[in-house]
Amino acid sequence: MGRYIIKRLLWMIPVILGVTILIFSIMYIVPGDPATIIAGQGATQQELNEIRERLGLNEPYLVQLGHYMYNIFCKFDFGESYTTGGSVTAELMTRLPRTLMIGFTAMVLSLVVGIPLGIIAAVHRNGWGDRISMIIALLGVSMPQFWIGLLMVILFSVKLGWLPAQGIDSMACYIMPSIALCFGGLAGQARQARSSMLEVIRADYVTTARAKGLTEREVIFKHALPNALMPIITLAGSMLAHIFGGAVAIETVFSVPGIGSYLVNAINKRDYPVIEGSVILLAIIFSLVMLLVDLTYGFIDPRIKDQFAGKKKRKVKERP
Amino acid sequence: MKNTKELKTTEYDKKENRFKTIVKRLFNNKLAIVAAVVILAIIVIAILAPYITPYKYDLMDIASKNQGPSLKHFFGTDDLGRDIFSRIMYGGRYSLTIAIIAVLAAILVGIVIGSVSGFFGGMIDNIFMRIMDVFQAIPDLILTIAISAALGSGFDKTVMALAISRIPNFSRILRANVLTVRTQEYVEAAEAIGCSKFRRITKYVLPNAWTPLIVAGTMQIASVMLSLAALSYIGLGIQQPLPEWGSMLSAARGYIRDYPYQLIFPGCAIALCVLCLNLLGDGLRDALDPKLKD
Repeated sequence: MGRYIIKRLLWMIPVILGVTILIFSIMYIVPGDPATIIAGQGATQQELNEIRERLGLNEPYLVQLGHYMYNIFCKFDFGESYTTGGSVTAELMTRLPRTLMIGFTAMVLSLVVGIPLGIIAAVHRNGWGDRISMIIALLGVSMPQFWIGLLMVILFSVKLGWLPAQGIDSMACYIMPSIALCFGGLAGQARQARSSMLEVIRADYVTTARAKGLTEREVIFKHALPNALMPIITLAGSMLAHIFGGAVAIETVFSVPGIGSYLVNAINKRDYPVIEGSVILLAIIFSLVMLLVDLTYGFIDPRIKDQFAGKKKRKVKERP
Repeated sequence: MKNTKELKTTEYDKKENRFKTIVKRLFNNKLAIVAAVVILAIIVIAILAPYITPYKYDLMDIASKNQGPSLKHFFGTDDLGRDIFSRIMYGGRYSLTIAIIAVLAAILVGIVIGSVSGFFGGMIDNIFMRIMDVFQAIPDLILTIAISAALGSGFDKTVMALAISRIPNFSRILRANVLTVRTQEYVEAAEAIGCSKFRRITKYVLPNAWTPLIVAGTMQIASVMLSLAALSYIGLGIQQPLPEWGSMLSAARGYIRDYPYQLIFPGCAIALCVLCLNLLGDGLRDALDPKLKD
């Protein structure tokens, strides 16, 4: 297991470096002069030159890339914002907890609601529970998340006045963004849970468990569910990509000062260091969570654990 | 000679039959057929929009701005007095077209990368797949936003941004299939009679490996439409005065307190379209491979 973890950890390094190179390069080829963005249209040639000199914009591409990567990975410094001149890292760090708060609440919600929905659907196959669960799941994947957010604002803030429509003044402000954000993942999770449960329910060992006279509850939760969990956990990782992506629009809808809205504001002002910083930070967090998912997968599935267990152990097992 | 001919006809019949059973299975799935009809209707409406809409999409009538739904304006009017019903009918031209072109482009590139990667294996495969790893380390929508932020808004640029972020999906699916197909006997036989690599890929491997892309493509059109809506909503993608559904939502968000209907109808259009695409995708998947059915 240790080897598996180390291998997986080491593999993250080239991927993160690759992401940084990719994002830097995309922003590098953008037409437009960063110096003009910083100094404004009315700047003199001398001012522009000074800015270019200070930021190293006259250097060749590889030198700039090297500097950028050195600053990020050795000093954890994403540079400074073109528009405010402040440190991007500091701003990202104040905003990160809010995005994570919304993202992880949404993730927990979609797991806690989605998996039971899928189980209900599978257990009562073709019954009402199945139909209702699948209708919820289908609607969940079909509606744009930010639109769900807007509808919730219309209902709960404008019409009923129960919840604040924007800001992060109180914990109540996090309720609607998290719920709006959870629908996509919830739907995917419910569909996955249903199909993997259905697959497992037909298996012989479940029939055996029933034949032994176990209660239906024991059959489902002790025999079927643990075996159906694997694909569900795999999906949880990719679901997070969905949630992080959705967070950008959701934060805009609810005016949450998180990384998503930071990114959107930066796009409108063409503030490239901020765009790069936000995207790279989100990619790093996403990769970390994927790593975590893979590791959980390794812990839960004995086959994977065994695959990476020491050679000695495997030899013993292979002996008839 | 006669024998080979006979063999060919039976082979042909087999293929024909397989196609027929797939179509039959699809037609048995009423929900998928309804979905297909709705999508077809949306496409027809989008094509015929200039002839059948009651108003032109950019016709402003300040005197009747922000009017609620009525017989004169079915879905009401927006802040510039433009008829929302007409704009939604036009909107399909942008939302659907962009999604379809983007997915087709991504599939095309995905086919090239996936087949080369899967067929040649080794170093080439490793390089391509590691590059795909990097792309997939960034959440789909975030990558689209980053590319779109660099390229700017507009039809072609948005298509490009959406397509690039979906390439890894398709190339991985195809690669996995090419890997299984390329070890089949008929591919080895083709090699034995001296077919070139290009011919082997295009004539023997691809025709037997590409079907999963139909289902994945249908599902991806749906997901790309959602991404496009989000993109336009945050100020990239397609912008006003063009009536793309996401950008209509973006324009209406300032009126959420006073005229919420302006937000409801364009969102319904997106949701209906995506819902039908998902249903059709489910139906296609079940028809192509009934084993997978729940």
